[in-house]
Amino acid sequence: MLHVSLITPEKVHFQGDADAVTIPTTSGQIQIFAGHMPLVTILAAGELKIIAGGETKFLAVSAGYIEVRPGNKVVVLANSAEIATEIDVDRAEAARERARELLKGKIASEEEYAAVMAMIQKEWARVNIGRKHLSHRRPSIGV
Amino acid sequence: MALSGRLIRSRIKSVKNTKKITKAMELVSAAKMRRSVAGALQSRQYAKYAWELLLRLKKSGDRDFAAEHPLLIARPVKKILIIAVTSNRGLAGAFNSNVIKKAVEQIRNPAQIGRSRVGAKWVEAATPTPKMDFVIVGKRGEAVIRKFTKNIVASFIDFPDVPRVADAAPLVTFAIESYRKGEYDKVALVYTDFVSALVQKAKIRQILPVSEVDLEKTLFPEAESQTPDQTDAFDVGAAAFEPSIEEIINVAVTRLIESQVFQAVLESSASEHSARMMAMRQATDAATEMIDTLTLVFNQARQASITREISEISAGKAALE
Repeated sequence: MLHVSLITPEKVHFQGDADAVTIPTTSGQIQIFAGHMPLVTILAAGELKIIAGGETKFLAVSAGYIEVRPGNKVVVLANSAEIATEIDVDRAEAARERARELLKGKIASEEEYAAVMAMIQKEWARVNIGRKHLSHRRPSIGV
Repeated sequence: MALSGRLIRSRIKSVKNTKKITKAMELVSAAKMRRSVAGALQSRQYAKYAWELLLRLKKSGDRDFAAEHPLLIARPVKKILIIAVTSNRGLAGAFNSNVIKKAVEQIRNPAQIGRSRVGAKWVEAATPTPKMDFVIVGKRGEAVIRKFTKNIVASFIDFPDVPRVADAAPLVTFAIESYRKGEYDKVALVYTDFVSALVQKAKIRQILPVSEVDLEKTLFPEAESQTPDQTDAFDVGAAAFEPSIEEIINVAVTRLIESQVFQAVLESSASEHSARMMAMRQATDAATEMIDTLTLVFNQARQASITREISEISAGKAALE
């Protein structure tokens, strides 16, 4: 059994036991089970799955890092997190478009470019995850 | 006397209306204050984990990352960036003037602010009079600080009543980027510490270079000196770091600065609302008192005019007899 905490600066989104978690990281998607070795890695924007007792919770997360501590503790510190079914897809799409528009404007530095890209990735993940978990399915967009 | 009676009555009416407004503002501020305080408490959890990780990683194995990371190294200070967090709206008692006073104090007394704190030590300033630039959050502060200095490089006037992380993010990005580029050798934050609903204090804290003491004071004000919980700490040598410790420290430092600024912004917002709540409560009390006094004056005037009328009538009657 894992003890998972998903924390953002705004609130504690999830705290409880789980059988496994699937986490998007900058070096690829990883799944963590009980008995995982201590690990610290960087979280990417994407879909986080918390599997507990046959039920799976889907969340859209962005930027941050994860820590696997000894004693089967997993701490996910994300900049933002949203339960998949609660994402307002239309607004997420609008946000993604805004982020894309930024890319067309003047970009002065490499850091700025990275920030804009991170924003696009975050909104992209939100749109895709939100669509995937819509009650009435709409065709998913290709990347 | 009839005229004066009418005047007093309309005065009472207007004071009553004002009282209704101040009472409503008091209640609204109380609700907003509760939301800001709850937000500040929630964000503390995040800050705690980020803080623990950084403390653990900073000295891992034989490498001292504190001496390597650009945001952790102190440079002799030539130029300072001061971020002052004020409110967009007034009627909040001494809230804004306290922050402004604290910020303007730095212009007058550059010797103290010129030093950077690193660990328990201070790095002395490169010059006795370092240059200072300001970033202002809130319309109120902007208007006043502009009178003292021309060096306002940015102002953020679109913070909502209860700020979210996304609102504080551009502030942090601005600070980190200009520090990295070497435009500033120190970044300090002037904000209002929310001690309780009755007590708020304007504080100044160093945010860059990252200072443990200042971080602790901002994030965990109630603890004397908080040593993080090491019970489930892992042995750094036995843990895996992907892609590398440097990358992770980079992320952790940024997150930590973000949560420090976010916490300060939330504390300021909680302070603003509670200051406004207190100001409005006092205004409501003053209005109640004024209504009482005016009612008394009105009754006296009415009584006086009745007495005079009676005496006039009885005098007239006496003259007839």
